[in-house]
Amino acid sequence: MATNPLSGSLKLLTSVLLLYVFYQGLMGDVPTLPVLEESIRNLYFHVSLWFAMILMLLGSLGYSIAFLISGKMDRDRKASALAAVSIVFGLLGFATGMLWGNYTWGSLGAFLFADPKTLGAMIGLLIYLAYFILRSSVDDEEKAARLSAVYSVFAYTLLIFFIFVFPRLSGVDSLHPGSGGNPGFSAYDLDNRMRTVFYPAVLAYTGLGVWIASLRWRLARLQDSYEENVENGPDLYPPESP
Amino acid sequence: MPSPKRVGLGAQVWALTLKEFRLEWRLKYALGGIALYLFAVIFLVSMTFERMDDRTWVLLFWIVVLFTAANAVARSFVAESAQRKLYYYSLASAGAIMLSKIIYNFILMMLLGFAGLALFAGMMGFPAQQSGLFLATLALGGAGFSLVFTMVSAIASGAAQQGTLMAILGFPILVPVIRLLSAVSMISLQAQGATLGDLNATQALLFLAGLDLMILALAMLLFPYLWRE
Amino acid sequence: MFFPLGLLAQNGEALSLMRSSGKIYVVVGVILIILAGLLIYLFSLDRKINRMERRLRDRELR
Repeated sequence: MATNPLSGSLKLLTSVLLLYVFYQGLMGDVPTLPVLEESIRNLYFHVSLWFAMILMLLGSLGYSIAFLISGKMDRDRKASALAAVSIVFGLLGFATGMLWGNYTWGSLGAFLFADPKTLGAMIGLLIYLAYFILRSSVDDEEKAARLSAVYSVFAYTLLIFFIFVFPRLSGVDSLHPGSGGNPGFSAYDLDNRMRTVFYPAVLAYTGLGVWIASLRWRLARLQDSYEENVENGPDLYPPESP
Repeated sequence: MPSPKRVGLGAQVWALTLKEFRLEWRLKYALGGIALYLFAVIFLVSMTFERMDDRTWVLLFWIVVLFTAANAVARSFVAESAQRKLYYYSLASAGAIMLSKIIYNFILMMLLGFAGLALFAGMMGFPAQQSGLFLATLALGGAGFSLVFTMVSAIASGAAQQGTLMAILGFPILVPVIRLLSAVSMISLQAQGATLGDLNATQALLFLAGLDLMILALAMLLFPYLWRE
Repeated sequence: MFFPLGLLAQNGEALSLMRSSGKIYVVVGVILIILAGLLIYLFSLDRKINRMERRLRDRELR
């Protein structure tokens, strides 16, 4: 039985990438930009947080679909572990975004609901919170898993649809780059220097998130097998030495 | 007793939809309650706002329709007892049950939506210049509300504290829907040929119709998984 | 190429620590928030694992 879902080399890769990103993110050359100045480095630390969150969201969605098809509880444990870590990343994304936005856009709260990207992220977080409230309000574990998987597939598919539609509506201008007269992504990294840090940063954060999620997942699996074995008799579960 | 296989899907849906209407007709107080609710809210709005600009009119209208939908459609699955559910599932296929609920809630929503519009227009005027476009938006938006709440009610009916849960589950999905609806109905306030970003009125309506179809498809696809017991 | 809101705000406000050295302290703040958040989360996860371990130990003793 594979106890550890992440191979050692993946954890090593995540660690190396994180070290590289934090060193290069602080010491590397960045293009000189007005207003943003050195804070453009937050592209590595703040923006990649969101990218990692979206990747984990898709992973969670995939596991929810897989659970609905196969009915295997393990898929559901993975989906909810990824969702839980995505909430943490999302909250951190908001906190860091507020700080960055405060010194570049000039206001702390005004953009929070006016901006489609922030609105999308906000709705995404609300869906996750609703997902966990739904789980906790159903007693039967299998049923909780089923209902929440259905909800997550329903809500996220619609959210993805909206994320594609909103940028096409005016009156919902974005302060984020690439829309509403702001420079697009490519304007940041004219010399591609930033790409060599940004993409590894997305990978590193995703790796870190999946790593933490796997800890949660292993804990949930342990709890489930413990409860199962208590019901089946006292000797079936071999006690683990701490 | 005919087995579900032998009775066609269409016949099942028809029978179940009729059953919904009969039930509603027998519980007249529930329907009357919702009609009274709609009237009371609109009356309250017209009392509080002596004058309002067109933008406020549109946004208030959608909020009233949203809350009416939440109250009217919320009961659809939650009101059924567990034994009765079990009985239905032994008689009909899951798809037929969902489809009949959707059809019933859609018709109910259309009645309430257009009654609400009539009341709103009667008490506070009707600012839309392109009334056809506004009516189409209301039809598509009402369909979206009824679909989302039917599905959310089906999910919440399996859990405890269903009333609160309905709001919590429905809200994140409906925020962008409301945003889209109010944006589209802003076009109808302007003269013919007004646009919304890159979209003209027809494209905006197509977007709404596409959204409704997507919610419908998702609901039909996911519903069977809710009843695997 | 410009963020109009940001420019307005910058002209209207005095220079602070956050705006000094090319706003590098904004980056420092962001990194600290992320680290603090991850640490808080790891502590809570650690507590959950401790609880599970206690449950397992309690069973061993019985």
